[in-house]
Amino acid sequence: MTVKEELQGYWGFVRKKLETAKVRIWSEIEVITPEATYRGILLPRSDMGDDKHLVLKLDTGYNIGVRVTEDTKIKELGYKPGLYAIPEIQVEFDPKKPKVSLIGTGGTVASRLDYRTGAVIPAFTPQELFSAVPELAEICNLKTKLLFEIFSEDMTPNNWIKIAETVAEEINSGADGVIIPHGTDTMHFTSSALSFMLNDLPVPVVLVGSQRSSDRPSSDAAINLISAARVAAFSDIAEVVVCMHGSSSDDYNLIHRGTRVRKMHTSRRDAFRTIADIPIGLVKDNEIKIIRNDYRKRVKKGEVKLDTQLDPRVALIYTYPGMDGDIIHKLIDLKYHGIVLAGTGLGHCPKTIIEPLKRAVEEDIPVAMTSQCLFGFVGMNVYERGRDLLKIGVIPCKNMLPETAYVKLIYVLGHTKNMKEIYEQMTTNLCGEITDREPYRAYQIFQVGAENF
Amino acid sequence: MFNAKIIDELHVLRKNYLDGSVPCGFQRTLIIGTEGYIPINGRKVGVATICIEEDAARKIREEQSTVYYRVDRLGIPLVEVVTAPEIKNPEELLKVAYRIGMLLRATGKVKRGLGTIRQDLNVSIEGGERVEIKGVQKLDWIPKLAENEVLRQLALIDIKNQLLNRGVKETDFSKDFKDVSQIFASTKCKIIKNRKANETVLAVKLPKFAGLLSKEIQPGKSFGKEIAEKVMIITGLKGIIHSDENLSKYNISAEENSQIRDLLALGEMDAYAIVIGDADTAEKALENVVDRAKGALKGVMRETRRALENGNSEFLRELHGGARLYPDTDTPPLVIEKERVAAISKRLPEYPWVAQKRLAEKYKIKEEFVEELMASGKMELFMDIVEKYKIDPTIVVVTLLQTMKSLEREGFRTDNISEEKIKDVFKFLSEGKIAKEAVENILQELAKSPSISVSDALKELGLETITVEKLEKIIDEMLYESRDFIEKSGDRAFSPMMGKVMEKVRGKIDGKVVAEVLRKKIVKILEGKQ
Repeated sequence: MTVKEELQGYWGFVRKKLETAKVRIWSEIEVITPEATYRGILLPRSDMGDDKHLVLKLDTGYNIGVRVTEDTKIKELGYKPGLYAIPEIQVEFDPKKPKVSLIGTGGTVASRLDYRTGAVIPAFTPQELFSAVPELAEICNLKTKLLFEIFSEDMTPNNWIKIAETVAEEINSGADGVIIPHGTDTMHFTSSALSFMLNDLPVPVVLVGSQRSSDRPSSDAAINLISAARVAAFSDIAEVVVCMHGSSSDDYNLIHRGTRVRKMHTSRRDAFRTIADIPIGLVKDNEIKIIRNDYRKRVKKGEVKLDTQLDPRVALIYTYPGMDGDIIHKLIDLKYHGIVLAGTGLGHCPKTIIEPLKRAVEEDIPVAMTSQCLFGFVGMNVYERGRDLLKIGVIPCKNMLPETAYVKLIYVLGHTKNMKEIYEQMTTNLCGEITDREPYRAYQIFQVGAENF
Repeated sequence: MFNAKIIDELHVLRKNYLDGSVPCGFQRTLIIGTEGYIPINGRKVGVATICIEEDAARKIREEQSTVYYRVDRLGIPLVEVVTAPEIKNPEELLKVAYRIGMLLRATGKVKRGLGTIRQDLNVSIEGGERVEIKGVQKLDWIPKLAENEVLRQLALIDIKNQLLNRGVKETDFSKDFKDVSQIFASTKCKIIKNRKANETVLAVKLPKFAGLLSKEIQPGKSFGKEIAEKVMIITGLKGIIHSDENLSKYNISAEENSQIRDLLALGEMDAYAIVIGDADTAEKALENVVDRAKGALKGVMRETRRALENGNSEFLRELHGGARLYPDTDTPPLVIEKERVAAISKRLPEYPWVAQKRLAEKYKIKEEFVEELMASGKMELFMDIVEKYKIDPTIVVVTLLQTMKSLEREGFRTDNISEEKIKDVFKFLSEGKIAKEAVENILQELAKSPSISVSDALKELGLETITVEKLEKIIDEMLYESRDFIEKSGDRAFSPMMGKVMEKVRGKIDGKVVAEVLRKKIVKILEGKQ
């Protein structure tokens, strides 16, 4: 590698200085400024940094930025390349253990710290993962596949399709379970999408993430990954599920149905909750405990039926007091194919958008109503506003979550543009997104741990 | 203030704390300055680094496997000042520590009070190792702690040399623990006899340690005790028993002693240690005993110790190097512009010890008073009052320091008296509305309740000020009663009359005004007579 390539993150003036001094990242250097002299290891610089400072790791372990000017003198004292790899653990294939495929979508599942340089090194290959999270090796034979590296907020329906295809491929070629590490922000969108697209699942598909990055001691990454691997390898839940911390401590993980789960907190480790229902089960003390029995069971032999016909031209709109009808008109003008509303209360919206909604339905753009309350069913026969909305043809989505309804409308529109069929499909339960009733403990469970069920 | 080189771009790092004292698992820390110094005794003592870090929660108590923390300190920013190893003796150390405290306080940016300035003492002597002593709460402890640590390190080096002379090698140590419960089947030793059913008695050989375990390494503390302390802290056991101890103290018989020695196949120069606990804990304890004993071959071990009030210290944890640091991904680097440093430099106060001298001369008060005013954060208030109300500095300083202290001693809540109210008291004093003698009583009133004003306090004490009109009325009445006396005494009547009037109005109106009015009135009476 040339000197140029090795000056990661440095640009402009400081880069020129470093090149002239013939030093590299990880060089032990001496920097003499008019004010002081520093010795340390030259560290890579964040791309966001300016071109006036270089970053040194001092003997004491501290990092500092030193201003570089024309008068600064830089001298290389030595060089020892930084360790940017995780020691790999080779694990023999064990025919007695289940085969689990891990499909990477972005973000760091696990990582290790290099204390000498202070760098966080991501682990991805099975060998690296086994080294970073040794417990995985005791659970299963792992196979990893990196699909893409994107932030979860940048996921698109096309990404969902790619993930679904890969999952199907893995399962149909013999995987006993699949783990999908995923950014947490939109994990519940992806879990819903996969639920609709992966039909006749024979084995578990487990989405997992971490609320605290793996470079922190408070990270939930390792436990989530281990629990997810356990669910994928051993549980008999042949559904798309999310497996994340159940409490803010490290005591158990919950297994949520993909269409009823939602991220309910920006930062807590137990941010993921099953909404208006009870989780399928939990993982505690290395054991899987099933809470309810109405899930699809694992089958010995079976193929996934992949159905990736989607029409992503759907908008998800939150209604609010003072809302103007022009937003809806604009969506129609922009030729959106469907609108999902997260309405207020039992499924209401301001009267200002009634006319535009009527126009939408008349122009064969389905409008589906969910509630921003998240808990409970929409009840559009109770008040006049609801009845008005039903009259103009708005689809009452029962107790479907707004995000799930958005994904589902994308899925349904991929198959039919017939308004009547769309109405039928949207109000019929396909994979747990609509339930018959809300169990009496479903609201409590939001606040209280499920370990007592 | 420390003449340090300011770091151009600050990088926040994390230091993992996995003992539970920081809930997120790491402490954030950053270095802000290097290569500074403090002038002392005509030379410069180096300040190697200045860091800012977050404080951790403090442990209050431990119950079995549960640790209780108090979080009131958690996350509070703290400044760490690390001096270079250039301090010559414990006395100088005390002075350096004292000056650091003064400097920090002089900035007006640090909190005051017990525990807000803590010292970690690092002691290393030739042939020894760096040992960090944490939790030094009082400066006075420092010389003693340093001295005792030097003693400890010297003693440990001596033990090491004796072991080497006896030809002990690392390979002589073995973790071959023997269950000696049987030997104590009918023992009189209460600790062993009363042990719980699941607890055993384990013993281990300490090769050629005879006599060394009882060696005193700090005043009143043997090497055996030092090992025991470490075991206690790591395993939670109550302690160990070793063969250098007076075993009859435990009611362990000579017979039992020799049986243990036989079982462990000990030679004359060998020692042994026994522990009592459940199998796992006892084993872990003996492992630590062996490791610590083996460590004696190296002399001093690198460790962090906790300061004890008696000047000794006890094991806290093994000392970690700087290698624990890694970048904090949540905070971007912060550039410190030269202009900002220059602007702040201009505003910096002078050295407190220089200021102390200058101020003492300016206000003609004792230097100790200035020092005390600075240390208690009352300097500004003092200067404010003196400058604004032109009151004798001695009166102000005595009030602020001594009067307040004596009120506290008498149980008054002086923290109820705000600086504003103190200023008001002196304002009233300067306006002659109260007498200097009334100040203490007013402060007492103010201390009783945080909500009352100085005027309220005056009313409460009957020291309410009176107007000149009221004064004239009072004087008129008194003069009327004493008319004969005045007419008889003439001008000489002034002094006794002044005394009588003041008795009535003291603290309520300026004496000068009283004198003026009184003189006028007497003159008038005498003129009328003529």
